[in-house]
Amino acid sequence: MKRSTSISRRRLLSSIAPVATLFPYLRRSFADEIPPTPRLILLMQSNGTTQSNFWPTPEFTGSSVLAPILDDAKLRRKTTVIKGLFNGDGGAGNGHDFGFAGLWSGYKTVGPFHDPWGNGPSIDQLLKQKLSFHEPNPTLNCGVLASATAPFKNHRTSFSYLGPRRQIPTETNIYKLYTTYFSPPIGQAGPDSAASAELRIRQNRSVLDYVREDLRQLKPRLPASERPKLEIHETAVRDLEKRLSETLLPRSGRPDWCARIVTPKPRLDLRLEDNVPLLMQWMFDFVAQVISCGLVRIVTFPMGNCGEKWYFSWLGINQNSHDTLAHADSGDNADVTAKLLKINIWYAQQVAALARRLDEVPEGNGTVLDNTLIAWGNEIATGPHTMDDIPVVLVGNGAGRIRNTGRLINEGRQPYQRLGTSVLRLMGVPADGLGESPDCGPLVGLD
Amino acid sequence: MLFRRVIRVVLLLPLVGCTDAHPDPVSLPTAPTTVTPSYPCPEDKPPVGRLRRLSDTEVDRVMRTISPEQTPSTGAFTPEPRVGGFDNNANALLVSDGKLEDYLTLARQAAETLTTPAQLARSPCPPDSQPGPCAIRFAEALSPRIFGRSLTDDERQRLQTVFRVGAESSTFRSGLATMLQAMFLSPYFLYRTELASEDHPGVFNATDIASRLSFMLTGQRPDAELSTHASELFDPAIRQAEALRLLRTEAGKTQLRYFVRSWLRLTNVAMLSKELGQHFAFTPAVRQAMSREIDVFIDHVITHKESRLDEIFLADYGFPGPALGETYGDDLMKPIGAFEQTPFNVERRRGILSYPGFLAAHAPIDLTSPVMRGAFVRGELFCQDISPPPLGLEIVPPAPDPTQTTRQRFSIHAASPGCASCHRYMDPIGFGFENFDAVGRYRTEENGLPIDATGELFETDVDGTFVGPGGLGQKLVQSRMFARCFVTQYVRFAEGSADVVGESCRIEHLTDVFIESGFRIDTLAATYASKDAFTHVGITP
Repeated sequence: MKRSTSISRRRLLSSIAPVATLFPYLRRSFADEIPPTPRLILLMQSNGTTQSNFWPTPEFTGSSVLAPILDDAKLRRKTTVIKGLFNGDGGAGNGHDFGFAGLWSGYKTVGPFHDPWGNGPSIDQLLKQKLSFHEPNPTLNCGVLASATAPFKNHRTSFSYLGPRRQIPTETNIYKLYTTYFSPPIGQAGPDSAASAELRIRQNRSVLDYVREDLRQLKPRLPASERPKLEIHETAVRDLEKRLSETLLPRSGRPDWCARIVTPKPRLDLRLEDNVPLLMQWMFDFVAQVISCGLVRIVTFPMGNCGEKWYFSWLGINQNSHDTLAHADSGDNADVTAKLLKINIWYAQQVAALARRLDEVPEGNGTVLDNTLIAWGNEIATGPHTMDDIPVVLVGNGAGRIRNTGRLINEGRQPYQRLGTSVLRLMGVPADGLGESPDCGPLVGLD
Repeated sequence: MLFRRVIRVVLLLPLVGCTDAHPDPVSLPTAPTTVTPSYPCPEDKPPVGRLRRLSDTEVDRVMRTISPEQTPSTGAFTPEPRVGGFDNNANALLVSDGKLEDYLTLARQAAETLTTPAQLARSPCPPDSQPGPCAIRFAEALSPRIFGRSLTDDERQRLQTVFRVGAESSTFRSGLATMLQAMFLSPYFLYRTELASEDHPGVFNATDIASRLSFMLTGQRPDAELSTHASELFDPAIRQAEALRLLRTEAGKTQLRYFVRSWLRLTNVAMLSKELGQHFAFTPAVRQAMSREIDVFIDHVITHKESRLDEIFLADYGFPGPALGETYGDDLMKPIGAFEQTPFNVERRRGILSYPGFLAAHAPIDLTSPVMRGAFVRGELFCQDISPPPLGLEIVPPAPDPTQTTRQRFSIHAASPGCASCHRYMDPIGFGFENFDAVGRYRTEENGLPIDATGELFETDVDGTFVGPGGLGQKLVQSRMFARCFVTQYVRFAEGSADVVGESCRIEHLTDVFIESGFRIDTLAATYASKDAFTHVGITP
């Protein structure tokens, strides 16, 4: 697929520089002060994988797709590959739809075939309700959705849900994210002074106090069934106040480099598919920064729309990766298999790059990655919508809560809700099950 | 491929027991009685009291009434869920963390815009006025447009405090801006309520009825005239009169157009991407012209054709702009102007289903998809649901083949009993669009082979074959199922609820009225507003 507005290699390289130069700072030790509570990054790939070249042996060899992770000795030690997950629940829409909304919520989709939505809270939002947070932003839902696909099917743009058919939109605007989180640079009110920061905090508090009082007065007028809407709003006000204050004042324990993070340049068309590689890199840089700077605890991140049709021009593929390739992945077409392998390796490279960024930041006796769990899932198992052996890879050990990493878990077929149940437990929330399977128990073999 | 055959066919229900089918014997002339009125459609549940966050579209409309010259907008907001195609779903719209960040940005922009020196010069706060009292006068002047009402004493007092903190160690303007931020972040700006009257259980309170009416018909807060009549809106005749007045306003036309575009999934036409190789450049000018043509057409029907739905589906003309010359080719009976009414060659095109914007929006980026177009007709025009494919089924759609037409490729579905059981509900309808490619150009051949654009409907009340979108349009306007589906979609939009079902007393009755009116959407809207059901609220915990 040729597009005249794609970014040139030179522009691309020059634009990487401002972000990439931040990462040397990350290597400086700062984090003894930050408690090693596990962070969580939930990633979602679309369109399944080719089963024959995805799974490693128990010795962690033989996976072409996962080579970018497993060939890196440091990452390999911190990686867990989970085989055997299946989704036998189904739901409205097709496999993409119920797999996308279901994997990290445990719920079937609801609604008509052409308009299916998640039917319960995803685990990021469950964790937000159950845990207490020192970060000003408990959760963040961001991702890369630049695509030629018509955008009106927006149930396919986010897997983060507050409740039934209550989807949290995915923020794809990298510039807006940097402005929100790092402008003015965190820990600085601007060129003037701490007094200026104090004043702005007081003004912000005054505004939000006003809003809080309005919410307080409005709530009793509502029927009980409507009050949760205001409770969600109240939580958002509380988090906003925390962010506005925290990012204005220097905080002990936060490394100096967090105050020097700037918005990447140049301006990219956020809808243009050819910009996906750079957007993915920038967005993962951003995720690594907000996690490492202690601004966010939990991230949900769609790597493309559900059922994404990217043409992967940057890999020289130029074919509809969903319709033409993924659906034709029956194993008897070498050309299709080769192209899908390239695509799936590219995804693994992105995950590996994110993991490395976190692994470069010392924290406690290890690195930020050691205190983080990256969970890379997929909406379906294979391109033709099969739901057995959904590919899932964990990188990081969640602050030591996974003791045995560096291996393949293959304990036979297990319902996909067990994965989410285990993630809840790893994050410190007791759970016997998830979504449609409240008693499914945790994943067998993950310890 | 084994597709389980399940389709929920909507049944035509008799109108037994529908007491709302006739003029209400008892109206509530100026205020409700103290006796809870019975709900006019006993078998339907009345809507419950709700808090409805404004959609981004509604925020923009309200913002325009506050600051018409320079309007801060939600343009940079993260796109929100459109449940059932509509962006105003009362359950889905919440204020989560990201949304509040967006609102903060908007509030700051709005505060900045409304406190420029030029604005202040025209405000009740000329430069030499007393800061405190003046700030409150400033807030009072804006309150009817921001909150749709006057400030309460408590609000005045609290806003004064916010102003003082904002002005501390800073300027008067900074105090005003801080105070305005509080107003624009207030739930009384971001939400509207639909709550039971405290004095008269069973009906909405008067101001909320005015708000319901106004947001349904104009997407913004009640104007001065409607607010003046708020206490009289228990009277169905006054509601109907106000509804008809609002429908004739520019805001009313804009809202009706927005509803039609949302229903037909046409809100994204100006942003579509297409990739047809060297033969056709789907430039921004082309897609914007497609989008504008749809706007001009719907406006034309609303203004000059009594907002008749049948006209939308049968019009023998379009409003093409110059950028659509290549798209239309020789399908027009006179040269293209600047979005002027232009007759179609009716052998090829008729009605909105044949407009390039519609055809492009309902096709993948490079090819046509009979499945996609057929599923749209089943789902959105007949309100029929199609069951999902069985779990574990390997989905392998027919691959592109340069030696076959699309119809021939998809014939594999009909040949396989497993596929046919479900695809027969979609593909045969979609085949009727095959004379139009993925950007809406008319074609008679594909890959050198002649195209057969015969479509077929079954398990509807207008079963049979048709040719082309125009042929389908002619079927639709004879279908009660289609009319009822349209009414259902309108009520879903009006109520911000995807749970409105077609098989209900009030929908059946409204369908009767709609058909009798000659498919007038304005009559449907005004009738819906006039019914007692519009003012009734269920008892909620």
